[in-house]
Amino acid sequence: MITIRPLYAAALILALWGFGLSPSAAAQNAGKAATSSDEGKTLFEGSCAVCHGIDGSGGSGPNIRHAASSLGPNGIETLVKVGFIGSGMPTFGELGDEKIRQIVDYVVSFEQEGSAATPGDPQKGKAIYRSKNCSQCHIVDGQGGNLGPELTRVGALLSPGSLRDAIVSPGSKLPLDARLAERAPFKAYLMQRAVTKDGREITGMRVNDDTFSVQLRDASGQIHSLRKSDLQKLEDLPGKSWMPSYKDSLTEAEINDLVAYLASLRGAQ
Amino acid sequence: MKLRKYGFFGVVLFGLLLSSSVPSLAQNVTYDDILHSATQPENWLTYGGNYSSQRFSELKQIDTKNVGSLKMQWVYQLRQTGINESSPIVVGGIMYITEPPSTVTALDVRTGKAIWRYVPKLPKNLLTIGLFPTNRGVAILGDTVYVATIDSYLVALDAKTGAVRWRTHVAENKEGYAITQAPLAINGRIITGTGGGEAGLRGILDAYDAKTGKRLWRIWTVPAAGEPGVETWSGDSWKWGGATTWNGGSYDPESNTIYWGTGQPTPDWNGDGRLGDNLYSCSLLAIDADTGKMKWYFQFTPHETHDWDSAEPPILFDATLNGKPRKLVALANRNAFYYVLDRVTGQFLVGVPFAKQTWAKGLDAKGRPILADNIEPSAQGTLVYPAITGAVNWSSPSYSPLTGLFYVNTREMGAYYFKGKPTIEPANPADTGGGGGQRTLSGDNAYNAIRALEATTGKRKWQFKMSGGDTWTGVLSTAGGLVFSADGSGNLFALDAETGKPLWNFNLGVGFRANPVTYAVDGKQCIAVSAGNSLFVFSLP
Repeated sequence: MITIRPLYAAALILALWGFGLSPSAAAQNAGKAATSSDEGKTLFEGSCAVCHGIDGSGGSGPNIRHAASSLGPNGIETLVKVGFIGSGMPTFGELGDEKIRQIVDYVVSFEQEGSAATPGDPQKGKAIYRSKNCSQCHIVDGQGGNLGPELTRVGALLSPGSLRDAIVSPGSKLPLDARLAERAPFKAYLMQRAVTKDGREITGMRVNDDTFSVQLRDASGQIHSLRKSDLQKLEDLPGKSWMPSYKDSLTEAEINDLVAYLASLRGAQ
Repeated sequence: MKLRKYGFFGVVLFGLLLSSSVPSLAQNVTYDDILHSATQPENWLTYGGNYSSQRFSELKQIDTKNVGSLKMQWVYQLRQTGINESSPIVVGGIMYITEPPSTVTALDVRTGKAIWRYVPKLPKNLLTIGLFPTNRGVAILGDTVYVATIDSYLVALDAKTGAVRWRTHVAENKEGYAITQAPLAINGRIITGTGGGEAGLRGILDAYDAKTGKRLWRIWTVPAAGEPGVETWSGDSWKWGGATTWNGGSYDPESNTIYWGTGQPTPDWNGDGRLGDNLYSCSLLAIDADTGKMKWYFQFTPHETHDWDSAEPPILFDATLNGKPRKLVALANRNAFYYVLDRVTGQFLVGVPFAKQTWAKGLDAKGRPILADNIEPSAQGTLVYPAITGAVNWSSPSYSPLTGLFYVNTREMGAYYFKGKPTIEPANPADTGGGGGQRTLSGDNAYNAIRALEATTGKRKWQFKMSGGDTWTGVLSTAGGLVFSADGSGNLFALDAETGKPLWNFNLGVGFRANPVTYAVDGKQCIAVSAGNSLFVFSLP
């Protein structure tokens, strides 16, 4: 059996594109976004939602809710105008500059929705981050361990509510990983248990899989490449995480402070 | 051959033509050849393998015992990158493929070396509304290769050189008409439809003279004012009804009937402005090949509001049903039901779900869906199965007359459907919205499976589940007792056609969006499939 080490903190928090919004959350956000730009919303729904989802959280195309941080308004505008050859993103230049600008404003508004002030103290939160040794598993500004996700820009990518969820109940809501461009966004940090036909047992986080193979990362960071035809069992471990819950070991105020610190991390791109 | 037109490319390719040791077999495919394509399985003569679109081959050199020894023969890297959905035609030692969006390349089937390439000049302000700028293949008849281009032209090319014989305007791209499908070549006629239904236009299906390019007939898939069926569209909504014919069709030479599916009504997710059944959207049309007159229609999803086109390839087959020999047409529909109809009369015979669906309580005696409650797209989002991409989409299923099974790459996925404001402005197609949107439950909430259905009943015999992402690959079945397809991660695989047991797989490293084909050269059976921006060929050592 693999020894489960503590403090694989915030294994649910993922950078880049995706975060696994619940369907109800997606619907709520779709409603909120309606206030930012009605024209842009109408255009977005007509031209973009078919791939990126009505709330921008992704569908057959990627999650673009944080495109403002990663691309900037000018980058979004260029992508809309000229498309992205090979990605399936078509050109929308024929819409004209004004309508493209309305779409860009609407996409930018996605990110502004989650930027409400948090009640905690980021400085105190930083101290908690250190005292709980979160850096054992997470990198901020190039420093830290690599088993959990990097947190350098996590404040720009996740809402305070999502950060809180990850601290209080890790494993309950896994984010989507869209970094492997050859496949649709899939659950990151999903724990799986594999048993080979000769009785060997491996528990790890799924890194990738397909119909015939699975790649697991164990607690030491080692990658295990397994052919499914060699396994007698491969099971998901839903709700499991190497990161413990801090629901009982931190006070409510301390959790707020930690959330405030993480929300302040908007590091260099 | 007009080298000047193709500039540097043309000169290079002309050189290749001179230097290649290509078999000197004539590329001269008669209508009779295609009628009896099963007698020359070394060629792959139509998009669907035969006029019945069965994608079944009589070749059996590669079988259940030796398929594990398959080796890669050659790879062709596309010169035009993009979404690659091409399905090859193979005849007389030459393979004809398309490259996105509308390029045609002829390859030496022994080596994969290019013989010629046709690169159409396309307008800069090309409209591709609701579709990807891609192409699924060519047709061949006589010594001519036919390609329908993304800007809605039908082009006839000399099969040996790629020189343009004629080029005919099919429809106006500025109105949103765009073509991605392979044409269908029948006796002296080339049939093509178009896509672009989201642009606010009316669907068409055309027949052209194979020698001259002259249009012989056109059928509109949405009736105009005063025509029967227009009463199924409220107000003026028929004017932008959609119902395009954007994928391949089938042909029954005995009755001289073309079978072609139609797409969704427009706008996609908001049907408030187009009350009624919206004929002939989401239907299968049976059309007289001489006159273009509709013999019958069957509408699968009346007043459709989830973008479940019925453009999936219809498969024709004969079988005994309820003790009676029948001429049948089967279609695994994007709406998650498998249908079997009498292809002479259009009579509904069988309709059963082959994937999870939550939109219908069932079908009535005539095959009309009995709708479930609360399935309409809404402002807050309505969860419905299947997803917008459907339980199937454009990629082809296969029917094996040896097993009597219908093999279909099935997608198990739901979606939240949202209702928005439709912005129909037919005069300005770029402004035509879908009237909403969707959010698919993809990733780990979804999977694909190859399912083998009893063709006459739709009853599932076996399934082979896949993981690693969504796949858009079609299915090929062979007399070697095999079924070929691919998963979303790039694994091409072979299954036992009777049991679904996996027998071989090869990781090509990129997701697929194409249909595999098989043919033989130098006495060796080959399997060819496009994946990513390449085409791969396998055979036994």
